Amino acid sequence: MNQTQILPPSVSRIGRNALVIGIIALALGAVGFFIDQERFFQSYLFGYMYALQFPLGCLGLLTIHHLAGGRWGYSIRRFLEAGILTFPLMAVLIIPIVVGMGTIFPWINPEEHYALLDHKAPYLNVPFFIGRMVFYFVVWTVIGLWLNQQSVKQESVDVPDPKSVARLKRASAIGLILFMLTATFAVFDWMMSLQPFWFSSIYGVIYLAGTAIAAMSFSLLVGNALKNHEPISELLTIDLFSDLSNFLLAFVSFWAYVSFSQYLIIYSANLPEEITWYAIRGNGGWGYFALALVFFAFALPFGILLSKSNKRVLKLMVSLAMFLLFMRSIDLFWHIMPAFYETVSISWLDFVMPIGLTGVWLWFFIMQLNRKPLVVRRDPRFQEVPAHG
Amino acid sequence: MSAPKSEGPLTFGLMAEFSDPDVLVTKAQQAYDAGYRKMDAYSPFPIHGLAEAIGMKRSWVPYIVLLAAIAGGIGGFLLQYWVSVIAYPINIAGRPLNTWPAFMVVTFETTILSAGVIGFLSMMILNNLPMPYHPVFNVPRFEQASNDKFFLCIMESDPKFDLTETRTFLEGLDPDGVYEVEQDDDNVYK
Repeated sequence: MNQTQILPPSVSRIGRNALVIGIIALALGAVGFFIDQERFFQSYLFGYMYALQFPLGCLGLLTIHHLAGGRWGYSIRRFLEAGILTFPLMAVLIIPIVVGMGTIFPWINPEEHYALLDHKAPYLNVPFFIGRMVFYFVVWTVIGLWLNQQSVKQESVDVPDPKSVARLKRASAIGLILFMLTATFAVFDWMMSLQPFWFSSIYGVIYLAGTAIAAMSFSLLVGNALKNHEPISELLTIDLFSDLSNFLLAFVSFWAYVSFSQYLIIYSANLPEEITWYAIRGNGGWGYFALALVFFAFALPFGILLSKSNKRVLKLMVSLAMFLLFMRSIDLFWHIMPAFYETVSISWLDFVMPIGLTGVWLWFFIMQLNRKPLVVRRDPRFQEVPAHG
Repeated sequence: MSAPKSEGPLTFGLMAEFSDPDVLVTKAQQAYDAGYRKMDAYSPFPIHGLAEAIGMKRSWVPYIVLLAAIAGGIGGFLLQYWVSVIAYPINIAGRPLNTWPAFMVVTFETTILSAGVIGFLSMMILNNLPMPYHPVFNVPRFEQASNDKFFLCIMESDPKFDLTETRTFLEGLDPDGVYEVEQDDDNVYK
């Protein structure tokens, strides 16, 4: 098949526009570096953690799909596979965080001497921090390439090969375990250590639940952009979008569940070293962000997604997916920025950074998506999916 | 409602047998298009599109469950509020009496409990369950409905129902068989 025919011109155009917008936004952000260096790095971290949700979420969803099967996954498999090929880009984009780590992470140059930081030094020190960062990206890139290579191999035969499923499952089982561990520690490193005295073991899972919301919303939007494009249009039916919306309901509920359990446990214990994290995020105007999350990142989407008939209205689901992607930024902003500012502080850099980084990522994603045919043809399980299953 | 006993066994309706799920959906749709409304279809497993084909209305159960869930949630919260704030207020580590985050766990549980129990009961009641006797079982072939056959039954209570005409119509659907469903006169089902 001709390389240029895989994606319709409209989607290729989105990729080019995303690159242009992304570069302009990042250029504006670079200007911010000379105006307010501290804020530049803080906003960059926020924008980076926002963009990182998409490849991480794709990796989680793809490994789960390979292990559990299900009709939904075959239709969006190519999107997820393209998503996990973007880790090399994310590895390049993290360089500014390495450059600015001294300003971002308070445990590197603490203003005072804290015995607790000495105690944590065997984990929280610069060489080990960078070593872990390299390790995470090596693991994610290798899993991404491995799963894609197995998928290409599955398609390369004339008759569907049952062994190819076992190979994909093995890669996914190893991949899923490594992914959960590395991603959890990555979130500990890049977000939790912004307040190095604070700790929560569920913290990584809260971020990962958010990546699942982001990647599923994103897949729904990509599917919507391709729904009139043959041959994948035959798979992108309203039944599929309804299935994806069901996943959104599950992930939104899971995200709310883990977020609230962390709050409930810390609230109940009320220990000074734990409760300060919420004390900062409930005062100085940050409390409005928390309330917005309760009502607009959980209650409203939950209420809309509860109804079966709503999930069959594609336009509504597309709007909801975009809204959820917006609420993801509110959630991450509320997680990251209060570590630096006791009262609400919003800078223009907080807008250009996520737009710039996500824009560049989207361009790179669409390039990866253009690499192989969109429809899965040689997965033996896909042939067997029963009509009434 | 009950007919004179001298007429012998009453007719519940006419039943046609099919051996393919997709055929059943098509034929049910044809019966609906022909104007029949009071009918039911039987299959060993759920078939997508069958409920729509026989013109089934959306069930009330989801709305009842939603109301039950909301009532259960509010009730569960108010129960804890009453206990902790009104009936037996005690100071626990200086927290406010209305410690709503701690109430959320029980509120969630009562929401689920109420929705689950009332959802189950409303499903049973709306389906007239438990129902130890139903006339369709008078047809010997109907045993196959839980094995590998698919049935469409047009009921006598349908305004368009006519024993001869409806039988001709069902036979025109090319079924494996058409059976008259009899019912005892003291067990009249609509």
